[in-house]
Amino acid sequence: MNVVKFPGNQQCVKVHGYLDSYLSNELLVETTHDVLRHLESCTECRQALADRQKVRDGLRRVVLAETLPIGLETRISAKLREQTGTNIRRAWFFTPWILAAACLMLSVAGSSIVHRQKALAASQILALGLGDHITCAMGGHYPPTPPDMATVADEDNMGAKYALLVPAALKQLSQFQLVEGHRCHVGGRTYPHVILRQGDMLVSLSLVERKSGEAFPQGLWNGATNIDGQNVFQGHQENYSVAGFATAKHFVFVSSALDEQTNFDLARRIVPATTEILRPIEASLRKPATMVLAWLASGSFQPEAVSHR
Amino acid sequence: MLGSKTNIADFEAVALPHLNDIFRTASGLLRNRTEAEDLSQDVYMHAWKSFHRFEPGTNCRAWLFKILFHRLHHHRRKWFQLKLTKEADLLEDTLQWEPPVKEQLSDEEILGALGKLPEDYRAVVLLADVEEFSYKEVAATLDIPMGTVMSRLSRARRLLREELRDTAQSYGIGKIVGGDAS
Repeated sequence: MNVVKFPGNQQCVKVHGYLDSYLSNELLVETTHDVLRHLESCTECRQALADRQKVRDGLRRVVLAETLPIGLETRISAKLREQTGTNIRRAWFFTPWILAAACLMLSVAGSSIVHRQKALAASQILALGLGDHITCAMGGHYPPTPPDMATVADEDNMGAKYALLVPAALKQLSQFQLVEGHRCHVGGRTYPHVILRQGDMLVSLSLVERKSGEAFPQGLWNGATNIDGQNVFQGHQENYSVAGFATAKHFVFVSSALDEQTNFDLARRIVPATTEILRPIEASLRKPATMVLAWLASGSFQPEAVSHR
Repeated sequence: MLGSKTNIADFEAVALPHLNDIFRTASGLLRNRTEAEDLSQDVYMHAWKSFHRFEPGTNCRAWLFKILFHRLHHHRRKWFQLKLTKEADLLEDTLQWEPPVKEQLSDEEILGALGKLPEDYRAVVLLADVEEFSYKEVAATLDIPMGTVMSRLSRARRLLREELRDTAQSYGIGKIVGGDAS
């Protein structure tokens, strides 16, 4: 590489030394402030940070799009039980008839355990998508006329960032009308929530931020389909259907009283647009300071990019 | 205790939700989905064997990643033996001008650049930038000092930028990105 001396000063040298740690949120608060102060006035360092951010975001986008091989989770579960079965076989001295009986018993017991585990894990996730939230989604009392977008975007309702989901959902599900857009608070978590209707049928699009390490127990739903790089899961609880997928920072659910397949078909239509809308929100969730820098670099203020609750 | 039906259910409940992360990182490291699948299965079999040592309530994800790198190290003993460029070289007191990275980065370009990274750099960048582990957690997972994490991450990011730089701009053509042309 050509060695060209950077047209900066000693402060640039110092800040460049911090940029990687800044990007990883590993700097002390005071140092972060020093970096931010310098970036306000230094185009070269802002560009250097923007390049780092661009590569990092691209890497995350590509690697996070990697999907799990179909059936891997089931194969691991089976192998775990096979390992346990092997221990039992050893204990019974490999007697063929006893072995056959043992395998049969083990497979019956094993499938029962698998079934119970599936039911538990799936219901936990369904509870996250539905739970008490179903009362809000399906049984609430709504205004007779739909709110306008300014009302939906009000910070007391969905807020400007998440309100973008409303036109996106209406575009993809053109036969539906908006009923309401708001944020609900259930079980200590906040759910931006869009409610649509077609006739008397309500469909709910809700999402919630993922906690650290929280993930869908893939393979434990009734099925999953890869749509636009996302595994979209479908399930059922009581009289309601739910389809869900996970982005980098959110769980997204589409729930309704429609049959499971119809509900899933609605969900699959809004996956790409929803993912696209959440991407910048998720970037700002992780690094609000970076969004400010993007604003500084662009020279144009974008209120929806920096205002968040 | 190994073989307990209750424990299998407990193990699956805490460990399987992280399978996607484990597989994704294995795939990013090995650049081969079949090998990544085998490695992921191996990780879970070994995690199950040592599940009695896992303390409920502690970070299961970090524990599984530790096992992932342990198994990888076991299978590919030479994996971490790559001689690095002197890491001290990274602590520069002068700056070199870097061409900007491309405005649009395709998935293929990014995967290609990731594949060209030395594997120990790839490990650090996947853990820190994709899985969002802290420096301290990366150091614990890979059994290396925090300073090494920082220098490898810095070097890995620079190598990625070099692979993804805007060739046109580095030759003085194309659009100016950021700053003016004067």
